[in-house]
Amino acid sequence: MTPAAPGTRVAGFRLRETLAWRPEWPIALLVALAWVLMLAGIGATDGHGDAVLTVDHAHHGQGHGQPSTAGPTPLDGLPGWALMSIAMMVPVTLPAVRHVGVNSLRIRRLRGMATYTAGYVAVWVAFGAVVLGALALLRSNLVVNERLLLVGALVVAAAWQLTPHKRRALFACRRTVPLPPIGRRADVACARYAVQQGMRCVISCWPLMTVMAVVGHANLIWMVVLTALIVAEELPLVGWRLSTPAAVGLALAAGLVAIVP
Amino acid sequence: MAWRDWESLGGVITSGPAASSWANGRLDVFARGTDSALWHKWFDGGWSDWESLGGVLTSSPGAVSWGPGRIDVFARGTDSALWHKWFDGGWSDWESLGGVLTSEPAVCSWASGRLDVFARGTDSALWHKWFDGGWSDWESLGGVLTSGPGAVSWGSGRIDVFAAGTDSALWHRWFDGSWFDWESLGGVITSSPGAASWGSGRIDVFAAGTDSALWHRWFDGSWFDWESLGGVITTAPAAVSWGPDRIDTVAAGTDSALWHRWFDGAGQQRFVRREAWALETPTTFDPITLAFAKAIQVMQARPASDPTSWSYQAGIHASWNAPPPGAPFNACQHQSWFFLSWHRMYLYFFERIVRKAVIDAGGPADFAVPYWNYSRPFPGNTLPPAFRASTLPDGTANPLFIAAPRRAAALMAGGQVPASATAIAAAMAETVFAPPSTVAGFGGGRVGPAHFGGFGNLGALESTPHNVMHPTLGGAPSGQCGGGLMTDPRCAALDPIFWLHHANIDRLWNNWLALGGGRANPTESGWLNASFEFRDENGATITMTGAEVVDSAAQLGYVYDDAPASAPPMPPEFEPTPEPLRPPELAAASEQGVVLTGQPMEVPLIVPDTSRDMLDATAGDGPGRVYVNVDDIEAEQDPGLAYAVYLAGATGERRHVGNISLFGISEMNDPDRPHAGAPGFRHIFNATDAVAQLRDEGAWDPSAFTVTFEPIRIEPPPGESWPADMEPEEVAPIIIGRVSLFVA
Repeated sequence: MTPAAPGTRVAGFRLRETLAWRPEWPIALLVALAWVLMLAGIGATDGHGDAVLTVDHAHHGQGHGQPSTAGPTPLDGLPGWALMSIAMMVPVTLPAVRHVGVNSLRIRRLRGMATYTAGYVAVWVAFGAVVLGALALLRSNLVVNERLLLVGALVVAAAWQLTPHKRRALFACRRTVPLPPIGRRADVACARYAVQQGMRCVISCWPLMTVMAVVGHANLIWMVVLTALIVAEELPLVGWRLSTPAAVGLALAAGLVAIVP
Repeated sequence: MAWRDWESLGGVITSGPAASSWANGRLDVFARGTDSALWHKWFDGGWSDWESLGGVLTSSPGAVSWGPGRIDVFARGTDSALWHKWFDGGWSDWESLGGVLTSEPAVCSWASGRLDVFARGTDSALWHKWFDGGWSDWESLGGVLTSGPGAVSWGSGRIDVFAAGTDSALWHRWFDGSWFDWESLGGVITSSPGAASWGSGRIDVFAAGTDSALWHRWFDGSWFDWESLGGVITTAPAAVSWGPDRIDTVAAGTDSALWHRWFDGAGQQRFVRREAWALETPTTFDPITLAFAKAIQVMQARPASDPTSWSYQAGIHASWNAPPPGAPFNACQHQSWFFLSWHRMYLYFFERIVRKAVIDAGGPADFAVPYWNYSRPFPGNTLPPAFRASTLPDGTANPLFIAAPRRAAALMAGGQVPASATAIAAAMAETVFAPPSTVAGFGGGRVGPAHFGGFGNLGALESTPHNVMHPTLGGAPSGQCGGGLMTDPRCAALDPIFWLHHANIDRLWNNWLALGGGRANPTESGWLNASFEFRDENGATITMTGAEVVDSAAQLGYVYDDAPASAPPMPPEFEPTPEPLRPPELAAASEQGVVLTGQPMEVPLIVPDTSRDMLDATAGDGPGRVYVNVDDIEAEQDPGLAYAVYLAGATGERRHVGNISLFGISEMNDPDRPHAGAPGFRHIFNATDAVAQLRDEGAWDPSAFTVTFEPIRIEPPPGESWPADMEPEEVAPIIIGRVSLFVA
């Protein structure tokens, strides 16, 4: 793809030419930044939706199931969740970001890609609000065995891998929507495309992200493993073949979590 | 290839050898001895001893035979002039033909009584002298040679000359009524070339490489890449053929003896695929066409589980039916760089199955599937009559006949396929099989094996005529093969015309390669080594790779009756263009989508102010390229109708830029199968030439242009019109999300 540049050209020129073929690079940079922040522990939470480094919670470390009147709301974890969504879920949609970039006028390119990415992340944040809320509700009203909760999430994730819904969502990953060139129609189309792709991605990956909600965003090993799986699964034409091996892997993980002390 | 090992023929030679043959099984070899005289050795069932023919040579000899019992030998004398000696029952004396040679001579003959001699002159150019009842003067053929020439003729009026250029590459110039310009055949050669031909359309060229091994390149419809034949040779090689599938090469070894290596492909049968219309005279049913029809009857009578049955073979392409156990159904490769190679393999094994059925029934043993070249004027662009006759001469039902609605009614009524559907110029103008960029080139995009690799990977030949002809021949599909067989990939191979269509596509692949100008098959292992499974004439499982089908004549044993004789000179605009530095950029687009239902449709494009300068600059006189994209196409089903796409300027002048066909869309819509890019795929058309033409006519305004879609319908025969009941009906809709213009 990179043109063979004569020796007189400087490295900066070659970089510019390379980036011209990859208009999505600012969004890729955003993903890298999200990973750096996650690795630095910023935005991380423990397994219970509580932000670790941002708020010093009075009841942190106490047993759960104790109704708290002055404690944090589950939505306190949303900024961390949003950061994790950028790190984990935006990589799989970079081809769509590129589609928006390539199919926009040069002056609207960044705006289009930003609109798309914001809409796409918004879908995941909305999903996060639901899951984190549901988990908080569960934990505040029942005495929850955390290990059993994780085993359950992994079993659901393993089972979902084998459903036709999962497969169809993967097959639809290259679906696009028409992008008018200018005006409000162009913005609306980018947002519509974002929501369509975000919904498709939620259908494909909701159990995997639910696992992340259970283990907490602080768990970088889970993050790396699941991100690798999600990205590989979305490779066009071939990624879907990973669904069954991934289901087996997730089931094994569930077994391990259940038996290892 | 059946190359035999090197054998020593002994002697001590002090020049490169020359070789000639006057008949099957006869070889004559010449070389200079240690005494500078010409020595001769021949093969006629066994090798003779060396005999001296005298003279004092200052170069290697050149030799040719124009017929049985005749040999002409040439060499440079001590005076640097050309000297000539011939055998015609007995050896003549040496005669001088003058000139000042700076290389050994090369000689060829295209007929009895005709000799053409070539040598390098003092100006390093190629010089030519010929005998045709009397000797001509020397004429210069130009060039700058760094070796002696090699020459061969495959038939009357045809000469091919080879020599090393200043870049040490092999260069080629040929005469075919007139002299064509020099073309480079690449490589780095360290000796004069030697050339042989065993028949019309075949050339074998040999030379020493930088490793002193013998290297070989050959032309058989197109040029095949250099192959090493090993050995260590210390002189230029000589080559000769005494008949089809036989080549003999000789050269001196490190021991100064004469060494011999030969190719013997005898026993390899060559099948000829013939044009269907050529099989229509004097009767509708030529023995080949009739044998095809009778074999289809046999195949259709076999059980569906039989791998050699008609339905099983069609199912390998795609099928609505559940595959029999282990059957490699739904395997066809579309929208990918495997499209051409997979269909070549598929057709090859199908042909073997049909041939066996033909031979079993006592039909012609040289049966080959015909092709239909629909890109010709009336009546060539109408369905051959054998496919429109409901019965065979013996009164049985004709399986080549498919009644409407399973084949387009207008086609069965003798209508013409419009030129926009059969245009091959755009595909042939491509110079790269599978470019690594956004546009899919001649042969398709680089994707892994896939039933449908995504419309973005649609190669130019697959797009038009392949994809356009499918619905044009099939018409509207209905149910599971109830209508429009050719329109639905799951039914297409049930219509016998499918096989003629694909033979034509396969032929066009060979013709594209023969155009030269850098056109070549992919050399990546991903393409060469991808393996596909088929069933042979015995029903046995067999696999094949791309590397096994790059040369249809040598590897698969078939040729087409119009196999191109040589690479015609390419106009400059066909020179390969380098990969653009920047990706194509959006310059204009439609604001809203359109729905096509069989009527012409005009779509205006919005050109933002910011794009006008870019359009002026790129689509002006600059080197830029312009693409018309038809984006985000969706349809529930293939309407059985393709659309021609035109770019129109402000004054209404318009140019055809390509066609849209949704061949395969209903399979691609299947949400339970992996098909990249559908729904919502795009077609990309290179409109650079169209814009240039509009601009030259003053019809191009960068701020106001439209893209129009027009249905491609079968036209009535010349001078006729369709009856009222053949009037076009509304067809299933195609939704086009956006039409855009990109510049690069």
